[in-house]
Amino acid sequence: MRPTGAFDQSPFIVIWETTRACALACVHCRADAMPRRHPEELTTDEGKALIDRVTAFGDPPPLLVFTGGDPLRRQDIEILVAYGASRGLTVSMTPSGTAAVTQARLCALKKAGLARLAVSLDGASPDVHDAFRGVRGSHRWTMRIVDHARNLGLPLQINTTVCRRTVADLPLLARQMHDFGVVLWALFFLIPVGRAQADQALPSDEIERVLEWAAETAGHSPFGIKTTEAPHYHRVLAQRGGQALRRRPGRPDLIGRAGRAVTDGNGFVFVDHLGNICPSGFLPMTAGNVRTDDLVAVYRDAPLFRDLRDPSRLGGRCGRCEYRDRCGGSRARAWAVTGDALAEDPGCAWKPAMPRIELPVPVIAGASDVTAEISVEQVTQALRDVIDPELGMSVVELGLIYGIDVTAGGVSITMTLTAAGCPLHEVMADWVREAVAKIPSVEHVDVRVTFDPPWTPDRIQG
Amino acid sequence: MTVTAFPSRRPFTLLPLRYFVAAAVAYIGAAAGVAWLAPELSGHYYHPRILALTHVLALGWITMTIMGASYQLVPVALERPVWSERLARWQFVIFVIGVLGMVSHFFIGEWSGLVWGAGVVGLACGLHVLNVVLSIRDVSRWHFTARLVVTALAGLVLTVLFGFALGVDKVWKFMPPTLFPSLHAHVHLALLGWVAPMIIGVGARVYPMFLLAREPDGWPEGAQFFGIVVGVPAVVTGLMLDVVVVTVAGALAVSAAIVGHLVWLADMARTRKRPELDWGLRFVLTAAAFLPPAVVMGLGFALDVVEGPRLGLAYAVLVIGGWVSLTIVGMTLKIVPFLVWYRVYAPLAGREPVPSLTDLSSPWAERAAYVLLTAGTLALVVATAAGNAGWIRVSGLVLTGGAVAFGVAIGAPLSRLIRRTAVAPNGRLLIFERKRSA
Repeated sequence: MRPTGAFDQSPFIVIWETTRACALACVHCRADAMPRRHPEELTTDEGKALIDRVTAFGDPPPLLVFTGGDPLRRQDIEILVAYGASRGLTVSMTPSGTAAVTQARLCALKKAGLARLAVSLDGASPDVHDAFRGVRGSHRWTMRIVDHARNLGLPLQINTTVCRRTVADLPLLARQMHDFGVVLWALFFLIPVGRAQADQALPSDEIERVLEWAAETAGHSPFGIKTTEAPHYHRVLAQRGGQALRRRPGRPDLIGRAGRAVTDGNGFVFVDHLGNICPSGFLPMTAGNVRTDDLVAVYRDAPLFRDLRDPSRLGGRCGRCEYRDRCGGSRARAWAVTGDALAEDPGCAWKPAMPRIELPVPVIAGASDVTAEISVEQVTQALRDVIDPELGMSVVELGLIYGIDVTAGGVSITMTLTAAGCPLHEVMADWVREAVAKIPSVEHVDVRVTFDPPWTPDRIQG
Repeated sequence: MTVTAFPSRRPFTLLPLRYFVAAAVAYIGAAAGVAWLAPELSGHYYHPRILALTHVLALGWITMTIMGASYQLVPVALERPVWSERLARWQFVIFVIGVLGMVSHFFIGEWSGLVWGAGVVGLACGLHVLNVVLSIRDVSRWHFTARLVVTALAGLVLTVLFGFALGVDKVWKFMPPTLFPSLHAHVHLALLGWVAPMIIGVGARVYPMFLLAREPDGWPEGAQFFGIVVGVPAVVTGLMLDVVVVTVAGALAVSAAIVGHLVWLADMARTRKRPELDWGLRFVLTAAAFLPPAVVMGLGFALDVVEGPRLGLAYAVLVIGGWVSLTIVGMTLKIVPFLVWYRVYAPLAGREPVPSLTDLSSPWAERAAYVLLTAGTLALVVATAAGNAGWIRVSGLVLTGGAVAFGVAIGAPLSRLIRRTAVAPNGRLLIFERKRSA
């Protein structure tokens, strides 16, 4: 297990998108995969050179995962697996759930040195999975792959995309994980990039409930559960006393666990099918290309990667979160939602306790170094759009706003509700946040709900 | 699907709604039953069919609503989450089966079946009490509302046990042969021991929220709490043992509680910051106007100044049809649109324009319900006191019209659930949400 902060020199995992070719048509596809291979994909030799650079990160080397598209669409995939294994790497693969994954092919991969197979299963039933994957029969093929892996004794990991379409099936899927004998269940929280639609992403409170449920499930399951693009799972685990982090007796997890969140560019590096070096597949910001740049140097020294690993550069709640060293938030989600990879992760519901640390506003070359001022009047006006649905009065008229604090790009609001048990607790706070966030120049909004002093009707204006 | 997999901090929505819908059906049925059973209602109230009608109201309408509202209002008023949603769902099914069994066997006068139905109702009530007690067991402050909710739960348990004993006694005689004192005691225990403390207690928390008034305090608090916890046992004991002094003392204590409640309500209405009363709040305030004549009649019965089955029935109509039912109608008109709004529109708030609760409601249906139910109840008080079957039938028809209008009024917001489900592209999510937050 790696200590916290050990990702400056070496990532925990390197993902290589060997191809974008895939026979499936998944509705959420990050890669926007297509049926045919791209003519400029990395060649076999270029792939071997990439593997060499992965080993150059030093000891222990990162895990290497061949992903896609469908890596089995490459005829040289067994060669690449064998080469990686021969260089001392732990090689894993995520083939698509298609008929191409035969027992013979898997047997060949295992002999080549494949350490783990990871397949996607997004629904407990064929209807859900096939609808999500866009190809009828995909569930059946995935089940066959599961059987093949078990027959071959190949450690199996199941990946599940968590979004509105699939979240209903999680509890049932958990039971299936048990039956399949998987070593690890990876929950991929949908990021609205590629073909993934924003309305399919879960809101923060629902993500929180899923994470709490996952932590609870992990605590009594023989398989591990990890999350992708939900690093606050580690915060949830820490808050629960870390019980689910402890290894439980059962199936061995042949690939070690990081011990902290592995996030975009921080323990994680992604090389796409053309060789572009990105912090992750969900954060398609390019810091170099393996054809022209050194993977190790880019990971260690490229400003993008360094910024992503520097918790002091994080904005909003992530920047002042007491768990930022072990979590750091999903940079991909922050980028997808706000356009700023260092902004707070909007998929996290946690309200940090640490006080704000004011950072100097960076001067961006070619842009104005003057931040547009946000006035309290602007914020108050925006809050007039937040209407108590029962009373038909705005939070301003009701006197629910106790304080508005405007800092550079940020707005902190202290508010109350008409009663401590008010069922609109979460709704009104979120609504206030959304209303203020619409003001130009507002980069982050913090809403604190207090009942001290309690609200009285005397606070109603007019 | 494990319902408790993702524990929600949000209020349940579909869970209380199913109680409210079932209760509304019972209310409409009971109103129609008044018109249908007009000849029986013009005579003595101790008639199997009138007992059936009474239990449709007491269990199917009033208790059903209170149970459903508890799952919405206990978290609001007592700031504690409901202990088990699953238990509440099962309890609903058991309660519906039990009420149907009781009412049908009352109606046909088959007492062994009645006992089975009462047993099932008792089981459901026990599960409800268990659920609420476990929900509020670690409440941080035992304020007025919390104390009265516990009092009401105790009243429910005693009422159910008492009623069950009365049912068993019809098959295997073991109680004193004087039926009516026990019957009167059972009715008063139900209304004053279970329904009244729940309305008064929860009202003390939610009326100020709706009216935008200061939380009430002062002497009425003690008058209400001690008036109920001292007065109700005295009334019940006095009636059972036929000790007039005890009954009168209890009636005075209960009257003091009612006066305290009215003083609070008047104070809240007078000092409210809410500019205009909606129909739900008008129902609540109008319902309270039925209390003074009910108190006078109750004291009259205790002092033996007033007597007779017709006036007894009129007294019951004042309390059950007037104060209790109109209050429940008013609160239902407040709660149902909110639950629908919370379920359908709260996730969209701030991201796109969302309607207000007023936009979800049907003002004409609420107005029609207000006029017809208020007029019908007043007419029924007079008609039952006069023992005139024709007037009772007319009153019953007016009440039925009002109850149907009430059904339409809550159907309007409820229809948003169906429409939302129909147009939603992600049906599975809605199913998930339904199970999670029902």
